[in-house]
Parts: sequence; structure tokens; C-alpha cells
Amino acid sequence: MLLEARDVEVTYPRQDAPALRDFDLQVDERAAIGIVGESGSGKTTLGRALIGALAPTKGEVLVRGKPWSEVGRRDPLRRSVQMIFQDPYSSLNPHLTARQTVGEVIRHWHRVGRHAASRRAADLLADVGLPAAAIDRRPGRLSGGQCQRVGIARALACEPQVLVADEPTSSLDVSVQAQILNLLRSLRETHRLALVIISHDLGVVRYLTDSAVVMYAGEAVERGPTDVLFARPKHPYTRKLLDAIPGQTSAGAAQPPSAAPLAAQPRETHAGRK
Amino acid sequence: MTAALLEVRDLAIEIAGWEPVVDVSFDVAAGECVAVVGETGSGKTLTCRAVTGLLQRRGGKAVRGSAHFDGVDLLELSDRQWQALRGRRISFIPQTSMSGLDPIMRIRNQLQETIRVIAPQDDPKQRMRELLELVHMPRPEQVLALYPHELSGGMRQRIMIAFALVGRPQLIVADEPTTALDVTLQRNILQLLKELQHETSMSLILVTHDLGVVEEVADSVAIMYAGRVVESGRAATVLREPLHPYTRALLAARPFAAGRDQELAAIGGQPPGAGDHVGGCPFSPRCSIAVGACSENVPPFTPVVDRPDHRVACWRAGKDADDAA
Amino acid sequence: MRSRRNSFGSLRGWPLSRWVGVVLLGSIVLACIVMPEVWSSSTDAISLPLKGPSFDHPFGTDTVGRDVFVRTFAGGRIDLALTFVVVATSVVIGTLIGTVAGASRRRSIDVVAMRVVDAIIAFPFIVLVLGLVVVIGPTVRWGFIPPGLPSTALALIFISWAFYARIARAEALSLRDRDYVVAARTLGLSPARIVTRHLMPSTVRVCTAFAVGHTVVVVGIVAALAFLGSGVQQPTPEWGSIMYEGASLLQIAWWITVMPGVLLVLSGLSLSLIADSLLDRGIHDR
Repeated sequence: MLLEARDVEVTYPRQDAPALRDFDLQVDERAAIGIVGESGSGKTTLGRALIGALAPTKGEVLVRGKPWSEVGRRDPLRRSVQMIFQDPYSSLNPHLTARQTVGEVIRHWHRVGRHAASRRAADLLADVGLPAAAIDRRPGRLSGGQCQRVGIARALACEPQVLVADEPTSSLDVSVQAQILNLLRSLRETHRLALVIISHDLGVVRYLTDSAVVMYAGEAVERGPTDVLFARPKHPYTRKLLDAIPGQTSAGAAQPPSAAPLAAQPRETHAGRK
Repeated sequence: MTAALLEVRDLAIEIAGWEPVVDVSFDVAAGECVAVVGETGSGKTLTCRAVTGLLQRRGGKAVRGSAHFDGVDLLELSDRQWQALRGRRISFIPQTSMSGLDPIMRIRNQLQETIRVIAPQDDPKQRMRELLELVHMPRPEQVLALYPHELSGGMRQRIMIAFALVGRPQLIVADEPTTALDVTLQRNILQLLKELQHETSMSLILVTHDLGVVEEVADSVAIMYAGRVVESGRAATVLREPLHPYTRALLAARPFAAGRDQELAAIGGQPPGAGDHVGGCPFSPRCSIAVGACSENVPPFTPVVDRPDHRVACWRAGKDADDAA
Repeated sequence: MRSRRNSFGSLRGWPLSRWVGVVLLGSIVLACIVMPEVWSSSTDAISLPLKGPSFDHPFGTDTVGRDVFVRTFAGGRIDLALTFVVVATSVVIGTLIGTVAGASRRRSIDVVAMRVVDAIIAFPFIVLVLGLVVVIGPTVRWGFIPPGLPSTALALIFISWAFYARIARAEALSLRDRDYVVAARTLGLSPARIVTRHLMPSTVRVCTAFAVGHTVVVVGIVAALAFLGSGVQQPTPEWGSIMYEGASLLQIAWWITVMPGVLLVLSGLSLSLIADSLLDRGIHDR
């Protein structure tokens, strides 16, 4: 198993309630798992915990059986799980060009000289569809979709086995979203990756993943194969999510409106929640 | 046929030496919900600002065209004249709800102040209660005592709508009112807007990038690309039988539109940026059915045969990739 | 769309205020370098004392009869060079320490560094400078550098770096949780690399913007120190000491104090204009 979360709980300092609770997840080779949730569901916290950027308050996240706390900076396991971030612009160093951003990672892990790294970076950027003219530009002069491609190339430069994508297309224009989704899908094949897609957009999850976990208020409320989840949702929250998708032709299979009503606006609580 | 409440004709806006909005025309009838759909650079936000008199603050000005609201050309109004109109007959709900609220005043005080200024004939306390009820605010008494940062996103949006309703406007312009909200809240807010429309026969211009939202609440739709309207008509018609390649591409690019094992029909390239000059039809570089003529001349925005409500700006409207020119 | 708040227009991408500042400062620097070399009188040449501005002596003469014009510009060399050295060195030291303190995961490094910074900033500044100058030795001279300068420079650097450290630390703290810094850590890049390539480009930029404004203050302090007798020693000309000389003679020989004063003000003004224009641009950088 590539990546595993066991009983993970995360409580932020100065908060009473945990942002994430009792969470388990197993990511195998070439799996494609979706984490579905809205704001406050704990999905962002989960993403950070999965890549080892956040230490859980309880439980642990293991990379090939080794907890993140034991993985040193130079440990080859450090490379195996990488992330694509939501905001394409703030996920890149504004002072570095696309080539430098990717080249830096290549130099670090593959111990090659500056020129070789630079050439490899250019190749990798071409692989992810960045036009040649854009390779030597800084993020300020790239479009959102292009920045996201650079972020993907940077992650791929580590030759990871798991790619965690935190809302990879939410900040992009609709006409560009499909490009990035196609890219992620094809990369999964060509680079033999496992994908963990965190998104509130059910369309994205449906398209990219084989199985999914639905999150609400820090807990997993339902999980299962993606098509089953969409066709026969069991938990009232899952049904509510599916219903809420605007437009008739959107939801996969027709579902009768949720029979079990939830309390009116249960999440419109003020104060407290991050 | 009665004149529409708002008639925009051939609007062109200039900012910093170039024209991000050109030849925009659409109508809004009384009680109608018109969706304006577009992505980055489509000009939809600027068009909204032109119609609410907020262009100058962005450094823009309307250089051509007209926007007749109940007989008055909005583009000709001075700032002073706009004071009388804005908030009273035309209201605006901005995209980021936080920036519309004073962070150091409680909701109650802000709302009261607004009521006193815009609707002095009303009793503030009474009107506040009415407004909060109209927007289905849970626990209104508690909410009134809060500061803006203490509200959740959904509640803030409801408050913004309440503010917009103070003057009993005839037209509300909402710029992506649900984009920053969770899906489940989105539905509630959209339903709320629809309900308000019916109850008060208010017109609504809804700016969005989500075609699902259009399907859900809009009566008519205007699709914008690179500063021009490329297709417009009754929402149901346009979504069911889109004629412009961009509209078709948008519909096809939605993740739900593809089967699990197919590639999504992505649109290559990206929308033109500020100052990018495209000859002829602005969509031609990315269009799957473009031919030579498309990049030379801008197609006129004309009604479709047999369907006067449905207009398209395309030399090859309705054709597929394998059709002959 | 970003709006450019630009009061007076711009030329070739630079706002007018920046052009004015650069041209003005450039002229002053040029004059300080060139004038003492090409001028007819030298800084020590004696002529008729306390004479007003004339063709031979555009800024008049001082109590001993030396030409104020050439002394002003020769003095400018010292003031400006000293200021530049002090500010540049403080920025480098302060930014480095501040960035490392802000970025470090070990709280101990941050705490220690910041307590030192706090101590320096909290101390009454003039007392500290004077104390340091005394300790280092006011008449120490290093090679061709006039006596009094090394101690002044060291004392000012010792105080100034602390301000930059604070600024750099604040910026580093806010950048730590930016996605691209989290990414750098996730990608396994070394802490040194993260500090130098991912944090310092931003922290240095912030500190430099502040530095240009700070230079205005340092120029004034260097001159003021002469009033307290601990700056540059006689007979080396320097704006502050020249102004001090003429302070009691304002009624009869105003030019001795006013002329260097005008140059001091113009230098400060040009630096301010440049600083302001950089700050404006900084806001609009993505």
C-alpha cells in the first residue's frame, strides 16, 4: 500500500472541535480516489496531512508503511507523494520561471548539472502541454491553466507514486478546466500514478476517480465506488450534494429529491469554524 | 410588445486605450431573469458595472451604445443622478460579499443606516425584520448583533441580498453571487433569488460562468466571449439547441457531459487576454469549425431564421465540424 | 484589472516621481564626485572669511575663510558614501537574520534572535550610538578613511540591522504558509534553498523598499552626530559639521549652515521620491 491514513485526527491550536476526525484511507498503486466535501468538511486539512505537511493530533499517515514523522527530507519516500494546489498562482514561486521551478526539483533529486536539468525541465513542461514560448516566463505572465501545468510538471519531476490534487480546477476558467482534467487522466496512465482528488465538484470526481469518500464536518460519511455513490447514494448528505448540482442534465443518474431532510442550513453556524 | 425594462444596445466600453467590451446588446424584461455567461476576459463584469454606473471607478467609460432603463439612458447619467438610482431602482450584489460590508459595524447598524438613507419612509426596525424574513435568514435577532466576519459565507450572501432589496429595486444585478459558496448553499441562494423575483416581479441580471446555474434559474441567457455577445436567447432554447461553437464547446466540456472512459471535449488554448488582438471572430483561434473567413471579418450578431429571440454571432452557426462551409 | 494610482503620469514605465528622484540624486552624487576635483579652490584653501556667495565662492566662505561650495560637495561624499555603506550592510545582515528567524521551524532560533533585536531597538538610540562610538574609539582611522567614520559606521550598522531583521521576519512568517513554500518543503528542497530562493527574494524586496526611505533618516543622523561631536572629526568636511559651525552665525553668515542644509534636504527628498515610487509599484506586483 502506497499511502495510508489510520485513525487520523487533526485539531488546530485554539480550536475546540477537530477539523478532521477518525479518518482512514488506503491508497494502492494506480488507485484513483476522490475526496468530496464542501468548506469546513476537513478536506483541505486531510490533503495537507496526506502529504506530510501537517502532523495529525492523533493517528498517523504512513508512506509505504513508514509514518511521515520518520521520513527525513532526503529520504526517497519524501518524493513519492506530491501535491497539486488549488490556486495556480500562489502555488508557484513568483520570482522563478517555469523552467527554473521545475529544474530546481530535478537538480535536487537527480543530481544532474544545471544545463541537463534545464533541458529535462523543458521536456517535462512540454509533456504537460506548456507551449514552448511560456517556458521561460514567470507566473505573473502565465495564465491560470498554464500555471497549473507548471505545478503538475514540478510534482512529476519528483517521479512520485501518488499525486494529491487539492481542488485542481476550481480556480480555472471552465474552458480550461477540461484541459487539465484530461491531462491528469492521461498522466495517470503514462506515469503510473495513484491519484487522490480532493474536490467539491462532483463532476470532477466522477470523471477522474474509481472510488470516493464523502466528507462532512470533519468525518467521512460515505464511501464506495464512484459510480455506485452517484447512482445509489445512501447518506442524506451525499444525496443533498447530488441534488444541489444546478441543472438537470448534470447529475449522473436521475435521483428523486432527498427523502430525509436535513435540519435547515445546518452549516450556517457563525464563528468558530475555520 | 411592451418595451423591455432594460435595453442595452451596441454597448462598447473603453479602458486604458483598448475596448474590452464591444457591440453588446441584450434586453431584460420586467420580472425576467437574464443570465450573462462568460469566462475571464469576456467582459461580463464590466458590462455589469456599466449598467450600475460603477465604470468610472475602474477607469472605464462607455464610448458607444446605449442602455435604456425605463426611458432613461444609463450611460448618460452623472454620478449624482446615479445616487438617486442605485440602491433604489437598480441594485448591485458584488461577487465578494466581504468587501460590501463595513467590518467594524454590526449588521444591525449597517442595515439601519442603509434603510434610513435609501428608504427613509420606512420604519427601520420593521423593515429590517421584513428583509431578513424575505431572505430566510435563520435566527435573525442573533445575526443582527453580529459583525460581518462572524457570519458564514452563506449568511453574508443573504445579507448582501437583503441590502440590495432595501430600496425595493426593479432590477438587481448579481455578479457571480454563488461562485464562492458551497454547492448546497448555492442551490438555496439561487432558489431564494428566484423566489424573490416572483414575489416582487423584480428583474435579475445574473452573471455566472456555470451553465448549470443558467439551466436552473434563467429565463434568457447571453453568452459572452472576449467582450462580445456571441449567442443569446431563451435559456431553454440556447441550452437545448446551441448554435455558436463556443456555447456548444462549453456544454460539451462539462465533466458530466463525458462518459467515464472518454476524453473530455476540452477547448484548446485560452481566452484572449487584455490587449490580445484577434482578427475577425475572437473565438476563431480555438474554434473547431473555423474557416478562413472567420479570422478576417467579425460576424454580425443576427437573429436566427424562424426564431427572432435567438441571436448568434457566427459565420457558420449551427454547423458541425464535418459540414461544408 | 489593476488600476494604477499615478498622480503625475509616467515615462517609459517609470512614474515621474521616480525620474525626478533619480535625476536629482544622480546630479548630487555626480557633483560630489566631480566638483572637489575640478573646482578652483581646495577644501582647505584659505581666503577672506565670512564672505557671502560670489562668483569665486558660490556658497560663500566660512569662519576660517575656506570655500563652502567645495567643502559642501566634498562633505557630501562622506555623508552619502557613509549612508550607503551603513544601509547596504544593515539590509544584508538584517534580512538574512530576519528571514532565517521567521522561516525556522525551531522556535529557539527565532526567540533568541528577536530578543536581541528587541533589546537593540528598545535602547535609547542616541545613547547607544554614542556609547558604541566611544567604545570603538572616535579617532580610529582605517587607511585613507577619515577618523571618526569607521566608528560611526559600525555603530549605525549595529543598530540598523535590527529594524530590517524585524521586517524580514514578519514577511518570512507570512510567506511560510503560502502554497509555494509548502510545496518547496513537500518537494524536499533544503532549508537553505528555501530561504535563499523562495523567501529572500521577497523579504529583500520588502526591506529594500524600506531601506530607501531609511537612507533619508541615516543621512540626517550622520550629520546630526557631528553636532554631538562624535561624528566625523575636523578638519574633514561633512554636512553636519559644516552646519554646526555656522549655526551660531546664522545672522551674519547664513550661507554656511543653509547651503549644506539645502543639499541635505534635496538628497533626502530625492530618496523619498524614489522610495515612494518603489512602494507604489510593490503594491501592484502579483
